[in-house]
Amino acid sequence: MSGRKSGGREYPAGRGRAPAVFTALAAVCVLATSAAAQESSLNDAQIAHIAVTANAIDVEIAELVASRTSTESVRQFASTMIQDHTGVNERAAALAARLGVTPQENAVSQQLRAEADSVAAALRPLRGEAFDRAYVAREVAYHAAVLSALDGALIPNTSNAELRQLLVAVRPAIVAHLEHARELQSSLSAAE
Amino acid sequence: MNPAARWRWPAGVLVVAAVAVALAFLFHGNPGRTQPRRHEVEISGFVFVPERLEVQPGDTVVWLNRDIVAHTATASSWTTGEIAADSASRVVVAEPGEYRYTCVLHPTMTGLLVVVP
Repeated sequence: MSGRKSGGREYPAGRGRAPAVFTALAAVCVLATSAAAQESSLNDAQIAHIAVTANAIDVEIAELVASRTSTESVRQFASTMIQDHTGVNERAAALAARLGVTPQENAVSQQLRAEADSVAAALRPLRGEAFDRAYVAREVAYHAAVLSALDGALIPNTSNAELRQLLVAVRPAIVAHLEHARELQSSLSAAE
Repeated sequence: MNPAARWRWPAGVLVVAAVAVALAFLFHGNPGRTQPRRHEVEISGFVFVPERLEVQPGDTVVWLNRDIVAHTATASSWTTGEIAADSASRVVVAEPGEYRYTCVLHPTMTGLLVVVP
């Protein structure tokens, strides 16, 4: 891969696109504050839609990984994201069907979707180390934001006991994913 | 009761006792060794509970996954394979030693299985 020099260090091509990813990352952080700001107006159907959208987005972003990384630990992490978030959404769909609830699109889930499109557009051209760094940084920020939204807005404002129980059961997964992503980020930094 | 019958009764007791001792050695081998036992490790909230478990060679350890996603318990020489949500998987470890294990899907989860001779 060709590269460019900066401060005596050679960076792989594509790293120049990283700022676009970090702009998108800033949008991720809006999730927590956005959800918190609207907590009083969110009903269970809207909370369910936010949860389902958040899971689906992480699966979609993880599906970009296999063709763009050559790092086994990053590939394995993405595979776990696909498996876990798909599994959670299957449970959420089954619960919604059983409760007769149709998840309802809302401003927060629309914002999540827009953010995901922006992140995907920024990640798509990247390859190799540049992709790994941007993807893992995004996963750290995303899971931190989702955790904050769960604790600050989604769990406290869910009325239905079963939906709340599902969100509470999802929380340790988000914590584990966040820790895993942070460890990956450290290992990628150490390898530079 | 005639004298012959009185003589045969203690002999019968001895035969039963001898068979019992033979069976005890047959199933235990070593008189100091207890019967193989079944132990459970619960996986809940992305934590192995108990985190440290002490067993004897030949004991069965069952991992019960109470979480909503799949996990594994994987050491260098054995693994449960993927344990789906609300499922269980078992391992019998014959070799004494300390086995640090992890979930390969979620490496921040760790446990310790100690097999004492």
